Amino acid sequence: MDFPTFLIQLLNSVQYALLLFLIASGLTLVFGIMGIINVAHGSFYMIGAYLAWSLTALTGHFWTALLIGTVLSVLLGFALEWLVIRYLYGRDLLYQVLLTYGLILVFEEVRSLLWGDDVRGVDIPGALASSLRLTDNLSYPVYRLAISVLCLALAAAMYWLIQKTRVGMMIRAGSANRQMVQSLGINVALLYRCVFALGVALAALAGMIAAPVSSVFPGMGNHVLIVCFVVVVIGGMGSIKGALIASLLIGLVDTFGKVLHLEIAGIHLLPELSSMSIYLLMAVILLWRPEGLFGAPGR
Amino acid sequence: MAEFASPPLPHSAQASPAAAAGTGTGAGTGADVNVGVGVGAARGAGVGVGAWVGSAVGRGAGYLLQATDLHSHYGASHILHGIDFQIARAETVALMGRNGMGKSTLLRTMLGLVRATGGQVHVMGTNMTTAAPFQIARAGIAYVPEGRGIFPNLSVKENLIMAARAGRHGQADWTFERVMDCFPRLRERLAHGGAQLSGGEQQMLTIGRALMTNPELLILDEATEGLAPLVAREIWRIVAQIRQSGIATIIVDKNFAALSALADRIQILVKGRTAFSGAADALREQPELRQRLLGV
Repeated sequence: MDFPTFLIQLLNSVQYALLLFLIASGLTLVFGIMGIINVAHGSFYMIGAYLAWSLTALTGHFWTALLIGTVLSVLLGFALEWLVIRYLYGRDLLYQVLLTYGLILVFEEVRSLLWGDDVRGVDIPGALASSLRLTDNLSYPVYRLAISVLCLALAAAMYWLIQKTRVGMMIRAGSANRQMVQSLGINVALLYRCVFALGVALAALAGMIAAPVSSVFPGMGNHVLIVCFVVVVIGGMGSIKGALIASLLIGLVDTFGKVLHLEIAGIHLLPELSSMSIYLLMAVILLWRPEGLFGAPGR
Repeated sequence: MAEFASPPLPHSAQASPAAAAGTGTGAGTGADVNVGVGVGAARGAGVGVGAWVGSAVGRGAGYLLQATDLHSHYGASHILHGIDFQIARAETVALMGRNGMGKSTLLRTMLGLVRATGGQVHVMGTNMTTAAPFQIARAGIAYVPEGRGIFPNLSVKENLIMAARAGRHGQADWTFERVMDCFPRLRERLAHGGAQLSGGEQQMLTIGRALMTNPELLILDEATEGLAPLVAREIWRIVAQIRQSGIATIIVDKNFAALSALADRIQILVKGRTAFSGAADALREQPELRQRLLGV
């Protein structure tokens, strides 16, 4: 592999990783802080992508669609927490998985009713539709770079929010001892509603910005959900930092697993087994650290 | 049940609407509770009537916190059997009793952390029986729970500043700096994680964190449990200092000597009922009663 190809694959893997992080961070946040396993989290990614498609068609403007879509997904998050999720706090895992699995079915039906079952596409917004030339015959789309930059900015903002602000301290304190936070005069129910809405908005935003580079199709959230759970498990349940590191690892392993050739004793391992690579990575990491890279032991 | 004369207090002669309200309610609180009730109300009236007398409406208006005929259950077991409890402004009340007699449950029910299954809780005259715990806390009540309740995943500094809030009347006397002055040992540990502190430091942190909310009433459950005698003495010194600053306190502890030196009144629970309520002196003079109720 020559250097420009390597660079392109590296950029691809980072872009994929950061997008994954955006989705997985919401999943791990909601689990780590609220103790909720939300298997419908992938649906928010799909909803985001469909919102980007329909709102772009409606407004004729991708960025306007992004803005309206984000507001709508925050509202969806608030409504969902109030209608469904708040009844799951402190309940057995089985209830959480069953109810949120039910949500997947509801979301797919509603999607089918609202937007149909066709595969859709969203145009790359005009200002970012160009490509960067790397060599005479290799170039890299600017929009993919923009995705990475936006994701990095959001990751930094999230780090600042969780680690540096008082709201972040309250959120972290709530994950350790919800009752005590309440007894300090903090409305934890409202705080959690905001955290859940934040998680929904991040996943939907990931779907919206991914829409122009991948197609928009039914069930697109399900694959992403499984990979996100791999990210959360590798990074350690509830750890944002772990989710970032795990996303990058998975991005690298997944992308390079598909382009590298590895042959041992005449048996082709890569790319033939690349679809297994991230699960192998997870298995190895769990053997080494059962709680994940940054997970709290005994959780 | 025990009946004792109220010891003369400097303020108790002052007649005020608050004292009248307090005595009026105290009269109807059942056979177990005695005249000690009136002492608290009078003391409160003497100290700080101005701030709240205007907004004093309805039942228990003279008290910071008042429970009337409070019942609560854990599942099927009936823990509190109709407890009356009240504390006035700047008063210090000790809550005593052997393990499992309902002290923590009484506190937790008044704080909204356990739902009352009967009776009422009033905070400064407002019925807050069904209020959320955060609303009760915002009304000016800070809680230092049994087992401290520090946030181990936050640094000492974060534990403190996450709780910072102006009080019910906008008072912000307890700033980060003042808490630091009160607990010099915490200043050296600001960057440490909450879990890295010793038991005594954790208790100081929890008290400091409670003060950061600028409360009118501080509730300390098992104030010195599990602490070495020297550390416990330090905690008692701090509690005395807090009392001096005009914050009312409810203290649960096993140490009768320390409590009787601090408290205006002692209330003893036996099996979810009030077995004694009165001045510490009255209890000090009756070792056989103390033995029967407290086992000490």
